[in-house]
Amino acid sequence: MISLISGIFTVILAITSIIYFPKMGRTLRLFAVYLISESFIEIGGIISTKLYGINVYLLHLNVLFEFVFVSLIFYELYLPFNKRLPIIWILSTGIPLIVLNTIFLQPINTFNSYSYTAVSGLIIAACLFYFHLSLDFKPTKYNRLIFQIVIYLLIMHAASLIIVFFSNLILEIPSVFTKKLFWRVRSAIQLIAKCVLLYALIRYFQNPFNKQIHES
Amino acid sequence: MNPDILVIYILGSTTIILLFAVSVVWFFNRARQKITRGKIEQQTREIEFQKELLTNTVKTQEVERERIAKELHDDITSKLGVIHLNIHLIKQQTNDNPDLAVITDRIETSLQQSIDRSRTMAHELLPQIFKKFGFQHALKELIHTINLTGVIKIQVEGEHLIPAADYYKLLHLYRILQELTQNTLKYAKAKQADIKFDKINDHTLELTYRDDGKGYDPDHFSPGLGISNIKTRVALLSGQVTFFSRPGEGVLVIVQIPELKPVN
Repeated sequence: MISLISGIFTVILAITSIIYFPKMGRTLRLFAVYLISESFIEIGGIISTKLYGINVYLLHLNVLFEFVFVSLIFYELYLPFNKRLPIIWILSTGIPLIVLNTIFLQPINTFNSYSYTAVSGLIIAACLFYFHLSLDFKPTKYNRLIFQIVIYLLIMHAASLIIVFFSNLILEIPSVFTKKLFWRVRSAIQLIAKCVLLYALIRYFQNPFNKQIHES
Repeated sequence: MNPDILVIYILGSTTIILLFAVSVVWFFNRARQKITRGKIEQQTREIEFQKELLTNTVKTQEVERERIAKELHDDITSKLGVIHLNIHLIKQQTNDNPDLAVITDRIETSLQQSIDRSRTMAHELLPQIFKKFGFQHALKELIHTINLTGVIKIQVEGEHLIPAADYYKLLHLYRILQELTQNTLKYAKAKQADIKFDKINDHTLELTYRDDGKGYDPDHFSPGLGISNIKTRVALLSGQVTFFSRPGEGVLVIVQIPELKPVN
């Protein structure tokens, strides 16, 4: 149930992003596309579970999308601080590694815990580095929204890191309740993060003066 | 691995990581707020320093003006007066020399013009009536002098609302009015101007200045020294000034001064 509600909120976030898309600048649009891709994965996961009883293969796709979009988002976020991420190097190294993990180490019918954990770890590190860079950034409404988006990414991946790393081991636990407990805990924490983000987005874009022109 | 231990390990680790993430966010937020507060305090200090510097500069200017006005009046004007007297004595001796009479007449005329100009300059630099009798009398004299020219008629209303405040604050207000009237005389080609004083609350004085001159287009207007001077003096009074104008519709200036408190 909690996973379903969390999934619904992912879709609500995506719809909100589509509504405010015309008002967004480059960075926020990238984030909006990321949220929309997450919602497709989420809907696909629910449908796939109902039809085929399995949705693990979608996680492989999810990790790839997440890695690409979040790398691009942080590339844009670091630019105002004169820090250029070597984005081409990052994408050209990361994408093949994720694909190779799926082909050789953790096939498509198992959890891709290694690549997911690595991506989550990188995202957490990127978030912490952003906080460090933005210590003396001007407290404008736009910067506050970006700060909240980075917190969202941090909480989402902090909640997932250990659970996903041990996901294949969790599958071997005999108790169904215990198996589901981890995913429910993860979903509950992510649901809180999604609610906070939704509130932040609506509050920011409801102000008619908060347009993409304010994006630094 | 024992499933119970696995559960404890995973949930425990997740909790620790989450707590770490939340505390990092809290720490960075607090650090950022502290840095922002520090920056604001520094900027406030800088603004205060600039304001003090400006106040002292303007005060020095006024003191210098007073000194120059005094020298003009006491020294130069009086010496010109002595020369004028001597020329008058020479003139009396030139009855049988028409050429010399013409020359002494010219000298006398030029001298008289210099004496008048010197007196006017001394008066404009610091009207003695302001120093001796205060703002209201100085304002009346300023308006009376302008009205006597016949070029424009200026009316004043509500001057009794101006409190007997700090000398330099009233001097700033006087200078603002001097500047406004000078601008009207020089540029506006106005026939009528009105000066009105109002009290918005206990300590906020509102000055409304309006003329019926040719006005200006605010989009194609570069303010000169006079308007900069007005803005500087209003800023020193911690007030606000707004200019309204359109071509053919005169000028309206509203000045609000919040701190014109009576001096005990």
